[in-house]
Amino acid sequence: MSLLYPAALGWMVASLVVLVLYLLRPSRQPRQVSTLWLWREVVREVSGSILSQRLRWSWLLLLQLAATVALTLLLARPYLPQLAPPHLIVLVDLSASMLATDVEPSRLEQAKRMAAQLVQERPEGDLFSLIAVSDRAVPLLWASPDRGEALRIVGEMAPTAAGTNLEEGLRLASTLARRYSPSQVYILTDGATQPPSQEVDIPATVRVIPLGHPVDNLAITRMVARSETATATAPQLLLEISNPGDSDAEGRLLIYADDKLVEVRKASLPAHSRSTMLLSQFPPETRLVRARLEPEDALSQDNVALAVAAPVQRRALLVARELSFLSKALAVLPHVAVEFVRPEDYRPGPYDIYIFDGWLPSRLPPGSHLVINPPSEVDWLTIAGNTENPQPQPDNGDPLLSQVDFSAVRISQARQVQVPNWARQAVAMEGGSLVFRGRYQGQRMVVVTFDLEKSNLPVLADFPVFLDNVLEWLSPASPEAFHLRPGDKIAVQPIAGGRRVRIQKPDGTEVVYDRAQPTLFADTQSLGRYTLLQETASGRVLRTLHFTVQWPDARESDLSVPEGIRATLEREAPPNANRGQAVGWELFSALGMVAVALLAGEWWWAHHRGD
Amino acid sequence: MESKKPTDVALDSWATPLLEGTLLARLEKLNLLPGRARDGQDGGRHRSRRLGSAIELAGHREYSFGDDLRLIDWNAYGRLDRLFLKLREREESIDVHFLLDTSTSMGLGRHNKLRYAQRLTAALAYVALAGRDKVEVIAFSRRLGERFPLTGGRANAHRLFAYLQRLRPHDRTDFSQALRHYLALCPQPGLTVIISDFMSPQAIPYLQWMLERNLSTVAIHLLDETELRPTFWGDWQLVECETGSSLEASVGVMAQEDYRRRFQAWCEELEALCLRYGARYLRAETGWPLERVLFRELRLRRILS
Repeated sequence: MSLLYPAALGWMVASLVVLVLYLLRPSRQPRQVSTLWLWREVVREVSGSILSQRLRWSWLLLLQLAATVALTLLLARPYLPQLAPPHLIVLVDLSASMLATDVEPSRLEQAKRMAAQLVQERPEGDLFSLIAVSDRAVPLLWASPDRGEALRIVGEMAPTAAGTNLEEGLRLASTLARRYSPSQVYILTDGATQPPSQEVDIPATVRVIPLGHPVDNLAITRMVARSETATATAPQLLLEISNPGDSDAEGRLLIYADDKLVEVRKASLPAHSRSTMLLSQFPPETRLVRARLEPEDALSQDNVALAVAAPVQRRALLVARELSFLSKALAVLPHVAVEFVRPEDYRPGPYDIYIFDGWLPSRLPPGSHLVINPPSEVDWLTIAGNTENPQPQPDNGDPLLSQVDFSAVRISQARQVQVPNWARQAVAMEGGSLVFRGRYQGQRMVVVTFDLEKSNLPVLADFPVFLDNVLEWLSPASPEAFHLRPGDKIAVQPIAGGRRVRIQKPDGTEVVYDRAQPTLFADTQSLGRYTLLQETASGRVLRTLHFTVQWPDARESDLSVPEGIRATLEREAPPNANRGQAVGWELFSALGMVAVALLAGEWWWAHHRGD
Repeated sequence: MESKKPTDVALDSWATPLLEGTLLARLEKLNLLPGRARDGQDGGRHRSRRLGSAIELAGHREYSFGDDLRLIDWNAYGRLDRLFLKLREREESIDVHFLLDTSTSMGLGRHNKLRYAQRLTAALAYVALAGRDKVEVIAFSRRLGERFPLTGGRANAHRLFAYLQRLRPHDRTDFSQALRHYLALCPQPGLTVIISDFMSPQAIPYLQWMLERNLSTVAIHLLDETELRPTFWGDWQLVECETGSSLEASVGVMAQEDYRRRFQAWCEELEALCLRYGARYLRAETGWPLERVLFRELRLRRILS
């Protein structure tokens, strides 16, 4: 017999506690009776010395000790060991590169066939564990003897457009192998992945089954459309082509603007090289740019790329008492259209960003907020007064200060603001903060605690850069923010009047958020274009936003099936790997029944005999 | 588990009258049966072993010289031509001595035993006074206490009741002292009524010692339900109310059962002793209505009629 949790035997000390309780003289309440001589004949006196008494035979004590021992053993979980059944762990690579068709019908289907074959070859009684590996590792089956279930899960495995996180899969396999041994691990992968950064110790035999044949593959690994200014109507296209193969490759690159072929280029790349090109000859008002590589190769999914060409135009409302440096700086920033109103004319509208300079409404509108020089009568900020000539202490790692040298900023007066617990400081000062950012009630907010007119910040060259950083953090509009990789998340920020958010996916399905609450959209596993619509309750579209999900990684386009991965990962089971540690029959229920019986007997004895 | 209370609270109040008027009227119809007590004085209700001048005819005997000529049955002489005397029964009164236990244990119980004993004594004494008997009440605990002297006449009933009202439980019981003193005080008592819980290991031997003197005795064994059927269990320090000595014990259901059996055996032993010596015995519970004891239990045991 073995114990699953031998450390629980430490609870045996409870038996000593029971003994000590017996040795201690119990404190008894007095009860008057007419005479004692009849009682003396039927009960036994238990008094001893003042604090303790001599230990004497007692069935009650015996039963309590036995119950304590039974409960302690229950916690230690004794079991009768039996020879553990062999355990098969299969890691199946479901990354984007497994869509390659160099083997019929695809590498993934070949992996599924191999996995099914591995499961079927195993004798009855073996345990099966299945792990799906893409950008994360997911256990699909956990040490189950059900062969049919294992085959069903293998049959239902579906490809993803994500990269390969083999290291996470190996760690999961290691955990499984330690729990159920002896184990054998099979890794079904095409090797289009980065080797694990750290060696994962797996106490099992590890075998790698490479899938596919080494083939050349030209791929579009990055494509971003950008517009340098808000007024530009024709985008520029930044495009990256990779040839991860071992031989030089040639092809044709076809560029479409809104499904109209606008350019054909010859793509010629040496082995293991990348080429980046900038294309700008697009018709005005181009909204969607599509690139396609010819000829078709074994992995067609990385031959096509989409990019949103229309610049993201954010709407910002500046509420201030007068036009100033701030409005001038905002006017030159790209991708933002700023409107100006005085406080008395302020009305919330479908704006992405609200900029309040020296004034705040009683209730913050939905959207992101830049608050400059907040007035003292604000309930969500504690303003203790003013500080003269504060010394800025910038956090240069903060995204608001990217490419900004705040040390040159001189401020004559700033609000003495206590930083809220939801905020993080970007620029601190002694006893307060000059600039902080955070999410307040789900909305992004940046607070500048000083009057810009009482500082030299507006006249510094860094001021527009600082403002651009602030607006980018409040409402991302850079081209990169709208060209995602599979698995990336995008923040959905409702605008004023919006009651419903609909997100149309590339496969035509929709995700609908009926509440006008800030949320994160993470279902970005399909390649292609996504459309985000913000609507009123009646269904009128207030705002349309497009973003794309592109090929995950240049590594996923490498179809060379490196031999080295076998040498890296394969190993034999260590000689000291545990064998026969499987739990045969746990005595949990039997011990539980014994403990309950002992406790019931103890209760009966105490109730009937009182001894 | 029963809630732990140091002692049960006596529910009966000392201030209420001992007997109600309606009960007194019903008591006047009862007679106290003297048992073996026959050597009292004339004028009572009890038939004497000796002949007297009562209305009841006891029989005839032939005239002999010196007999009272007033007793000659002249009608019989007319019919039989011989002289016969009419023998009439003699009616006499007896002295009834109540020994009332006022030890501390009599104050214990869900119903106060002493209070119950006071009411029972008052009722029996009233029956005796109404029957032209004389009554003496002696309270005892460790020794004989305050006495209500031998008194006859119904008119003295209120004094007797006032005396009984004053009695309170105190001290411990000592049957050896109390009974010795009593017999020294009343060497030839008429009827002795002992009302006690007999909660002492001395009770049986010394009661036997008294009964061996061939006295007409009634033993009324007064018990409370908490003594007959204790319901508490668990860990207790049992304290004897009279002596203060204690016993630490764990009382379980089985110990309770053992106690009940032992208590029952002790009661039966006491009853058997009384029957063996011709004494009348009644075991009464304080939870019973007094009327049940007076009009049913005591009549069944030929103590009242």
